[in-house]
Amino acid sequence: MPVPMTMERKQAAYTNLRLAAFAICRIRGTPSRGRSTKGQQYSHIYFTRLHHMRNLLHALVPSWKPQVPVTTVLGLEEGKDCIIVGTLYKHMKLKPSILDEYSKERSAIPLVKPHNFMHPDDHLILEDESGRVTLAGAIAPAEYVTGVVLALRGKETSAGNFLVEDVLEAGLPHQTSLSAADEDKYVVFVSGLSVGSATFNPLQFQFLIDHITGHLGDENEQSIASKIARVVVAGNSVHISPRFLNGQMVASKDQSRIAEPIKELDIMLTQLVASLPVDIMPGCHDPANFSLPQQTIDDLYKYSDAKDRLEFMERTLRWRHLAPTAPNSLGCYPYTDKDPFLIDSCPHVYFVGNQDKYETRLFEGPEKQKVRLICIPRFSDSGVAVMLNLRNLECSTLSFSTSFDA
Amino acid sequence: MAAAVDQALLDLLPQIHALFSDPLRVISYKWLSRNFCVSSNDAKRLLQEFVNKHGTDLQVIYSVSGWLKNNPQNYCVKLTSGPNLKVIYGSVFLLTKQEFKDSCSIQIYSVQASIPKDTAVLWNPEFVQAEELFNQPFDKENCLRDNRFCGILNSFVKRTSSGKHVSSLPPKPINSAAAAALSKPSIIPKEQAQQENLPGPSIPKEVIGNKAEKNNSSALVKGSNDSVVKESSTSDHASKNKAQNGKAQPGNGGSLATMWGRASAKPKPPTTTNSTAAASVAATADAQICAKEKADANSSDDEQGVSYKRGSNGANNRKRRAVFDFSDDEEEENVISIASPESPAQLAPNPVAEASEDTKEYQKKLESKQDKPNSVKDCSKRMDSDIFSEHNAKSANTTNHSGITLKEKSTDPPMDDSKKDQTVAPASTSPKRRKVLKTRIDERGREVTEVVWEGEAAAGDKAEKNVGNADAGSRATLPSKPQPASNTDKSKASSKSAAGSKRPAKAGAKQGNIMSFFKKV
Repeated sequence: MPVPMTMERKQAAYTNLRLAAFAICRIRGTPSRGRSTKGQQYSHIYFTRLHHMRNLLHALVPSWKPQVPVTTVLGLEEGKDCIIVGTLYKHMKLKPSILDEYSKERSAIPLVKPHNFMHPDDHLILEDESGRVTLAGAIAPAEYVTGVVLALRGKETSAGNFLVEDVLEAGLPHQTSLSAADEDKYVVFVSGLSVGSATFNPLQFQFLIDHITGHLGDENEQSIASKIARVVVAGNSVHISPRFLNGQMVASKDQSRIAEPIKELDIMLTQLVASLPVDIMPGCHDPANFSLPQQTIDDLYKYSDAKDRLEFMERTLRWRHLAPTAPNSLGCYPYTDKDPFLIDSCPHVYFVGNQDKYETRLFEGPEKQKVRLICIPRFSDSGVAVMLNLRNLECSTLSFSTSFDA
Repeated sequence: MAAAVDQALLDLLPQIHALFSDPLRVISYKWLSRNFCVSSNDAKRLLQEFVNKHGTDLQVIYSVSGWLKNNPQNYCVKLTSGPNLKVIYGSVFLLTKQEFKDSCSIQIYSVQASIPKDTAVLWNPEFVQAEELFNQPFDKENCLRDNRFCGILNSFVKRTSSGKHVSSLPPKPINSAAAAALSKPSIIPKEQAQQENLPGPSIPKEVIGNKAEKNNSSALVKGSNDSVVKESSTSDHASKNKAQNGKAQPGNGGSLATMWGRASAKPKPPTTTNSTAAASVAATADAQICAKEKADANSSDDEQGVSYKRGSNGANNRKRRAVFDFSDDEEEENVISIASPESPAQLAPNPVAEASEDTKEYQKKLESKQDKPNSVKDCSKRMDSDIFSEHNAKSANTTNHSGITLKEKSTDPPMDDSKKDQTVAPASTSPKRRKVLKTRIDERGREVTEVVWEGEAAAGDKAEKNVGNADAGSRATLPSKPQPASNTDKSKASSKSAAGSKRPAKAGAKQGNIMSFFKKV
């Protein structure tokens, strides 16, 4: 009798590096600085963002253009070569506005919903505390979005625009060295489970769980599964019918129906957590807090252009900002004392969930930073989960099919 | 393949066959694993074996998985139905064109009368099972919550229930009694030491337990201390537990061997019950399942090992089982012994009660285990405890006081209650039998508390118990160990005439219960 092999699951140390990064620092009954949330404006986020980024960019300018003076928008002089630092605003013709909807009968602009809101007439405006100026020249509006902080070298034209000759982005931050595992250990990323949706296939999800937990397959397969040290559930784990989310009172008989997907997810995750650590991240369709934007890359896709989703991710790294379009077109909490989405140090793995397809690339920065970019596909559509090897940051996929071979 | 399947597993084949009397039945390996409390790998082997023998008119679905040829970075898991495969000498081969690189894994997934159009049919029975387990009280340990049947152990997976950290040592982490026992750590070692010193063999029931305890005692002492002192360091526990297991094995060998023998031998009679149980009855089914698990070494291993490790190895499992039992025994024993040796005449009500409860529960578990599966005593403690606790809770509500009658000394009221509750559970499982708690003072002035089953088999039991008591009395420490002893006793008894008489009766009672359940269903 072959003695069944006893496999031990690989363990990986875990430290939460940004425990309080997104904390909303308010204690009930002690309004911060005497102000209440009610009147809180989003200007503080832009202010802190500009302040922080300008310090970074000013430090870079001497090595970038040592001879060129730095000025403000208000201090621009026509024809004089200079550098200005400020926040971009992207004027978009097709960007939906609540006012347009309000007056749609008389609006000349069609209220179509294209895949994004790009238009050839879009242009960029740079602003700082002193003023704002329209940009022209060597800066492509399609690549940028509102909220990005840049340093621009150029000169003011007679028309009052700023003719851009060079663009300086903050670039990838410093990357700490990675204490890579000396053996194969995997982290599995899964996203878009959408339990309760029409596309959710419970058997498929069960396969994933059974594979990870070491039920499925022979010894070879289970030895692979035993190297999975962690699972990250990256958003949109449940799907709740939108008809329950219309602000109306929910009938008691419907309340259980709302809870059903969550309970089912609970049962499934119970099996998973009995085997290894699991992180659950909220998605934009999860019953989670609205305070933190969950669809940052998707929003970039609406307001800018790139050859693939990975390029959007690269840009956010170069801009040093996870969610530049918040709070402009992405909802988030009106932080007053910080911009929590600034990227202080370069990550080693940067993933985005709920994408149409699986993509991955190793992005290398000028200082030899190496970032594994991953687009995690929606599991309910694709049946694909992503397996990241902690030893070398190589990626592979797990795909699960429940249809029979012909 | 066939050779790879334990006899204990093969004994389940008729039950599986009986399950297919329902033409709509879909049996997946995981459902089988949970239902019969075997590891999922064993369940796959078992299912394959079943297909080899009886699968002519059944459709088989296999899971095929491996790295894809055209996309070597993609590990693909998919389903294939029987016609695409060929089974040669128990090994399965893919007939369709190989899209997988190297060797792929082909494992049986499910067996059913016809290939379902909607694959959700494959998943439904499993989910119903999972939901039942999920809906159990939060402090229950079950195979859903600790993944005990999988092929991969995680030493960091501990069983935590209701905020309590369950150390591997205490088999019944959930029990308050165990906690209470832990609360008096200083006493425990002494008792254990005493137990170790005990000669043992003279008493029939307790003898076995004592032996085992003796053998394990050193390990147990360490274990108990560890559990008491540091519950926080799970890794330590795990290692220690392992060590204990290793130690325990040699000592246990004799008693375990007998148990194993029974397990293999006994499973057949319960098969009828099992098959019925297969219908997936929550409470009673679980109990039977536990019994079945006992029968299956592998399954039991998993269960016991669950807290720290889940092993598919039969040997490991067995060891674990033995250890756990001992640990349980120790705790229980400790509690009891504490009461008896230190304060002979006057027992602290709480510890005693708890001890009694523990012992009762333990015995109940053991009995139920023995009764139902008959074969293995080892059935994972936690499983058992869970099941039992469930039973207890249910039974306590419905049928109280049926079980235990106190004789001679009337312990404190709290004890009675606890006892009753616990006793109730066994009563529920086997209505005809009752546990009787006998407390008396021996020649040395120590209080000896024993749990005795009364009922159909009572006569034999009592006789044994009485003898044991006498012996026990002489060896003051015995009372603490009666539970393990009872376990071993039962196993032995089952092997012997007394046990034999008990088992059939119990089995009958259980069957009756199950049948009633099915009727309801």
